[in-house]
Amino acid sequence: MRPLIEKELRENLKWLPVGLLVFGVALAYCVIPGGSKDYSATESTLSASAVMIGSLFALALGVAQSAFDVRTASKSYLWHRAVTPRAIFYSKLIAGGLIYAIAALVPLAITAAWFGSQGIRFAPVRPLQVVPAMIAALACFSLHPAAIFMMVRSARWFGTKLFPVFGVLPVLLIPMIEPFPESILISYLFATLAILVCIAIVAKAAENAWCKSVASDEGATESLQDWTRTTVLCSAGAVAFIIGFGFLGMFLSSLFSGNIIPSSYPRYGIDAAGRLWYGQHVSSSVEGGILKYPQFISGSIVQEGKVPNPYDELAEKKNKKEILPIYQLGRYQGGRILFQAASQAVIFGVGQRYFDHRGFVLFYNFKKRPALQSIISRDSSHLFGEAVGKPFDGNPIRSHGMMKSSDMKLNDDQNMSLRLQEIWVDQNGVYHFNGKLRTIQALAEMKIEDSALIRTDQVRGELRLMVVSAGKLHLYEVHCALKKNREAVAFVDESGPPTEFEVSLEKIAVLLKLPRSLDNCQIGITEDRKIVSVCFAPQPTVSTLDCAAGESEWNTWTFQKPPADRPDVEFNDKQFKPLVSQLPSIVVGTCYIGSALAGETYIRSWSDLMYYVNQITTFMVLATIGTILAMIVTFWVAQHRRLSTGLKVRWTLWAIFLGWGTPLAIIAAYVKPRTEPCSRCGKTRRIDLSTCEHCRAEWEPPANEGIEICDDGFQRTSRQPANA
Amino acid sequence: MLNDLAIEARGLTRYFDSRMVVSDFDLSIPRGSVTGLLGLNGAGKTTTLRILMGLLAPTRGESYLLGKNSQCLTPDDRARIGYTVEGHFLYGWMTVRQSEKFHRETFPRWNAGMFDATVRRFGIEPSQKIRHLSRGQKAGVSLALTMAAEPELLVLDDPALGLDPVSRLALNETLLDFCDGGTKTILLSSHLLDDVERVADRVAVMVHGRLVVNTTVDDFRSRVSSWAIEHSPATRGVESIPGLVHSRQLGGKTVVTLADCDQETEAALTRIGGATCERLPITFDEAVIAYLSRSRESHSFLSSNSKRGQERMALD
Repeated sequence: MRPLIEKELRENLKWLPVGLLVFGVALAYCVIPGGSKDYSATESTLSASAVMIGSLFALALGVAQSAFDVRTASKSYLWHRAVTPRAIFYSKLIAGGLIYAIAALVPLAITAAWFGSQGIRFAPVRPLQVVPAMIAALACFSLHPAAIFMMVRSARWFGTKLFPVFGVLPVLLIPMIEPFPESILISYLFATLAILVCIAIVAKAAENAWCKSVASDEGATESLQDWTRTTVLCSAGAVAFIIGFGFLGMFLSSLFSGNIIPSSYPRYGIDAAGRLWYGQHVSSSVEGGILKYPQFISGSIVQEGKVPNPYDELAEKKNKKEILPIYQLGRYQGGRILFQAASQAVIFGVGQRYFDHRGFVLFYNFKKRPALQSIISRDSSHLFGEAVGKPFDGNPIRSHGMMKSSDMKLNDDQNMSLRLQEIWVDQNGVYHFNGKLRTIQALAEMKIEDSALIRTDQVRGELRLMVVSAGKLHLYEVHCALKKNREAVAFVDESGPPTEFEVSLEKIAVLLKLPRSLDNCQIGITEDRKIVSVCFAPQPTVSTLDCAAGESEWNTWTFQKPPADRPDVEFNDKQFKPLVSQLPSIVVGTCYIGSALAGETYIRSWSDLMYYVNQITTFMVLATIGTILAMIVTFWVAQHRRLSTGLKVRWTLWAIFLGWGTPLAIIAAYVKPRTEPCSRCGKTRRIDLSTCEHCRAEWEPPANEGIEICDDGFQRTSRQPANA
Repeated sequence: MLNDLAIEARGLTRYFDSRMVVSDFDLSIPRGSVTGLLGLNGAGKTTTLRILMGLLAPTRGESYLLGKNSQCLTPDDRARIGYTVEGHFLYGWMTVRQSEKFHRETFPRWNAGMFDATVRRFGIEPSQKIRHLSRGQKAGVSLALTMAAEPELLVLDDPALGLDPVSRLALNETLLDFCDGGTKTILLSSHLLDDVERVADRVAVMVHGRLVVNTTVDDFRSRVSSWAIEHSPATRGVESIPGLVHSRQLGGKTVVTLADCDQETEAALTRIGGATCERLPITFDEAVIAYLSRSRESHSFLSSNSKRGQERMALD
């Protein structure tokens, strides 16, 4: 195989500088420093660049390596030697892999080395951040054998020739899967192994296609016992189906929806009276330079035994702001991001904060050199240097609480300072962080399982803290006041005179009995300390408790779960809603997934998807109808492809699992056979079979012209002239 | 039987889309023979050779090379078979020596002396880049590479295409040297009839994807005859002569070429030409061209004219 690999390298090394250049430029663009750069996205931007460039480069390399050698003359020259076609294929794969690896790894290694040499003093970067991009680049290499597969694939239409490339697109999604959020390295290892297995499958499929590329284009004679080819082509069918329906969904949306308000989704909330609402909630946005607060735009009160309607008109305009969303109690899961930005990354021009996954909060000012200003741990704050002190257990700035002025009468400077006072929570306690002085003070030390900082009013800014510790729900109110003994202390930096605030926690209540399991619960609290909790499983239940009135038992009642609906968009044109509701939920769901893949929207969680299928009975009926229809279409396509009875039955059964992707998989895997009329029975018969499928007649030899001269026993008996 | 045959094809048929390019092709070539495969462009020669070499699958039918199914040739089988591609494809970026190295490393047997001798015969320097060689020199390198692997069977697809007379002579001499021992088999596709006559001992002619001649050169010569008939109203009926390969007008005579002329044929000739009927000497070239002309006419507008003429005659 060595001479073949040398030949491949010699022919394709010219692509290496191209690869190095495009990878290098793309990565350099990602890591060029900038003041407004979000470094928490370093991994994702590097990975996105690696996917974009890696996909194109792997595809181009695979095409370049095979396009020439599948031509008649060059193929005959290359194939006719004392080596197997398999060796020829793998020499291409190995040579292509070497070129691809150098083109991708050298720029990534330089990036990693640069990150390492600069250190966190320069920016929140670390060489390990390059690893996701390396894994993404590895995933993209699956397109190289897919491209070879595509080039040798006999297809009458260009679109179906592309099927192998469609088939490996799911491999590019593997780096996004995070099966072990607790451990970055195990997640990386898992992704790498999964990708290697997928590349092996794609390579085997491409090898088989390569080795059989001399075969007749009447591919329907094959029984497709090669499961790797079947897998890739079935995957292609599924991807084509999802993309096709995704674009159909987008088209229908654009056709019927009119103006779409983004980021609107159904959500629960509570009003000042402690009543639970269910309605359409719009996230905060900036329109025309004006910040629009998140608010409910429609909805109804959740009542016992009734179904709430998220589209009810709100009675009064002011209700929109009085209904406040309720929160999921949660904790920070590690994840793959090494430096996570605070939810409000830029705080009034002071700088940016990032949570280092090793347990420290880093303060940066990118207008200064070095940019790193402070390193904050649980018990201390340091200027520059390496991180010291006790690390945080979990990201305290992921959902930190920011103080706002309420009853205090403050001047502008004091008001600014107040807004720099924050409440941080990790799994070891609650802290007051003074952003002005960059000091940290523990307010409570306890093992915290879940927590939520709740603002009772998004304008005035009362903060409540709910934590679950040792199986109890602790409810605190956060107080903040100017320090009485000193209104001003010494300057710590040049940004103005500091003002010190005293922040304390007041325990409102400790509830021994939790409202069911908190895993599937959302919880909220009103200004006058009424707690409302809504749990969704096994049955939608509302629990309320009035702390101010001294209640200690939850008042619990059930309601009807609202019907499934699209959670991502609110259609101004309500006429579209009935149309959507009439479509089978499986089709709507598929459109949604397709839209997500096409980048139109994104799936927030599994529960989003389950919105489509939460009515089990309806779903089962629709799914059954859809499956039966898919099976009928599958059988029809299999018959049209003239597959054997056994194959027809097997593929039809596969439609139960693969759904509408199955007929597309058949179209991808089998070429429609050519037929001619049978001279005996008159029915169309396949030209690649020696006997007629219908009457078992053999092909009749061509008519003798009477001029044949043969000496090997092949002598036509007829002596009739051709023109007689 | 199978072991005595270097090449055997049974009912080979190949379609490209809905067009049949090779039709029910049967061929048997004994070991130790040199066979010339003749036919017009588009007759299906290259397709047939690619099927025989296992580089293209037949739509139906089967073929065997050295007793092995040509769709299942192993590297060992391929090492015993030499094949030159139409146009003498070689990697242009390689030098002649690099080409030799590439081949030597992918074939188990290698006769370096034969390679050097062959390239010398074509006046080629081993250090020359392939892309800088003339067509004849490329043919020389291609032939040298194929034969240095010491194959038992040599399949050449139009090796003399575009060669100058000197290169053609060198090619013919190389082939004659190669099969000197009588144990090597050659299947040679070509348009150069005199070269084929000089080198080959068997001839196969393809017309419209069908094999119409497969015999020894001598047998072919002896079984094809040519006759001249004076023009008369009766000569319009030459199309009805059994075994008519081709007819053409030459001066005031109609020259007909016939296959396997027997008593029935002679009776038809006498009926049409009477006493004016005269047997002409026929060369190998003329016999082959008669077959190929028949093929060409059926593709041209002349054939339809001819059919219309026949219809008119029938009406008369």
